[in-house]
Amino acid sequence: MRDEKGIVLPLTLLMMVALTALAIGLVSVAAFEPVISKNLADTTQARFAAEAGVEWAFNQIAPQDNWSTFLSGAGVNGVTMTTGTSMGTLGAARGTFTVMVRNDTLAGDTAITGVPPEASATVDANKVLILTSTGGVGTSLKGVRAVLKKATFPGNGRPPGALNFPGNEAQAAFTADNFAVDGRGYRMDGSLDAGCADHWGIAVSSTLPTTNPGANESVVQNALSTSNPNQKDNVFGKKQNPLQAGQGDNTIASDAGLNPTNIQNFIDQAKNAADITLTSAQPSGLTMGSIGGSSNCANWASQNCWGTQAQPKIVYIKGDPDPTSNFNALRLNGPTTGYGILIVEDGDVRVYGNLNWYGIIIVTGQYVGIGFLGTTSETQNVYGSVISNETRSDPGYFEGVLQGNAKIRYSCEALDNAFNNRKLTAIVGWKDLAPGE
Amino acid sequence: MRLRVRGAAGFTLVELLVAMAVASIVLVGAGLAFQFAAGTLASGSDQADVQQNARWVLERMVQEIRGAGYDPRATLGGGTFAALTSATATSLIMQSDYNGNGVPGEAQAGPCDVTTTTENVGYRLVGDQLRRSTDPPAYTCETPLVNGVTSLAFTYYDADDNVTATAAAVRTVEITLTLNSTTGGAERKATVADRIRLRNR
Repeated sequence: MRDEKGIVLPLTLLMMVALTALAIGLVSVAAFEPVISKNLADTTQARFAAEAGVEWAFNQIAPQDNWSTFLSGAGVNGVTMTTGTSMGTLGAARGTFTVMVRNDTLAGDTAITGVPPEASATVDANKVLILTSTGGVGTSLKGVRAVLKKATFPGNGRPPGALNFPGNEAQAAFTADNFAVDGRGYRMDGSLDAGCADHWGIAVSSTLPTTNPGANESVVQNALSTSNPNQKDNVFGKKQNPLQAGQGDNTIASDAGLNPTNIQNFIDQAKNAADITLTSAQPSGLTMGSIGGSSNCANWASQNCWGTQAQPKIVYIKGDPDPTSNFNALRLNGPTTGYGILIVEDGDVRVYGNLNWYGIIIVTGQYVGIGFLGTTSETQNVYGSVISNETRSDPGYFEGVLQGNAKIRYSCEALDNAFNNRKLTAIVGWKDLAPGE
Repeated sequence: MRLRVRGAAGFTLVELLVAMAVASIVLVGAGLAFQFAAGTLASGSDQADVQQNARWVLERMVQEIRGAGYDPRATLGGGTFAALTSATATSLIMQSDYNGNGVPGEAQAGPCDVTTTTENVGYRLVGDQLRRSTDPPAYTCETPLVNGVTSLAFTYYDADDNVTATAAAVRTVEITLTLNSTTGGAERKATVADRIRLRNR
């Protein structure tokens, strides 16, 4: 009987084993769930960190004129812009990002950027860069790829002339002898800029009108000599013939850089990025009084603030096509001060009173023209460039009128300031990257 | 001769009955504890499963919807095509142009492969089953993602954050998904939701 101790001990052990197994099961379920949740949270956070990296890179690159500076030392796979950077004031534990930037040089890059690849890994000429941002939280990593594209003015990034007629017609009228159209480079303070090469005083399309490509050159030249033989002396700029004067007919030229399709493409992109969009309808159109200046721009976001030097704007006014060519889409009564890009589509622009515009004024579309209609006692200055792009044909109606004291002076500084608006840069081709991609 | 066996004094019937009663109470208690613990384990596991399924399905949709409308030819003016081609309360169809040839939503090359990322992807609710298709609206190449969907609601917002029913105008998608599991007879529910801004529009 010595061995007959009963089953209490085995039974107890069995129960303990079973209950222990259950307890372990419960604990593992309870413990596993937070791990899954944490992994999900970390992965989500890592992805947002990666997106923050793209935004960070955009903020670095978009305001810059020369994007090649970001490619210094880059190979075909690019160069690191930043490593392990925290998001603002958040600590590294909340996630960090590492950003690589590269030029679009690989054969397959067209499928990413939509444009033909470039040749050099270190020189960006097409204002297209590819970003890869990796966000990390703990051991979780997520990658995002995006493409930065900037809408650039066709050609070399600036218009070829102080006054440009890229469209079908270039009928112009000049009154008296106080106006000036000057293709020499000026700074915004009115001084000559040695770093800004001479451009045409007046440029016209080399491909339009289709019946006689480039003929608008003589149309403009003839307009300058009809009312006053001295008027041609008021046009300055790059010389067609280096041996001749930098004034008059020698500075009025047709230019292949005024490609109507490319200019329209730029206009379409710029107006989509406009800071201010206004609609102007027939018959009365839009009349604006005081625009810009310190009082209107005390609140930069105001509809009456058309940009400051530090923060230029894109202003887009959509008109209403009028086959009679009488519709004024925009009448500026002054005083008007603005920095940036002013686009008026499908209607005329009439400028009265004082005007100081730093950047570019584009009048484009059907039955359009621009008139600087101030008096000789008023100041009407444009530092940058003016484009009048007639896409239809309206013989007898002017695409450009200069009277009074109007001065259009080419300014690389003003144009670059206007074109470096970060709203002209877009983030496109946003793609979550799979591991290893 | 009377023999006295040491240690073999025996138990009385009363002692035995008392011992059995006590042992029974202990065993019943242990059994109940076991049953309760096992039930809790199963319940927790089921709840975890249904939540995990809901999260996985939501994340799957969110990732694809976020990238909808991928368009290498896009410019400042936005994409050259609509990111969504169909947008209803319980289904959506999105398109992209991954090969950059300017033709979005191209049919998948080769035989049906529901695991791949294609230029044309659709999600729809059929009965209580959420399905993903790589050839919508034909839906000949389609796979179920999860069963037990008791409710699925897509809500669409335009660029001004107003609710819209126009697929081409959609810029943000809100998803609310409820899954139901009746494993073991008990009902487990999990509701998950997210709001996704289309990154490529």
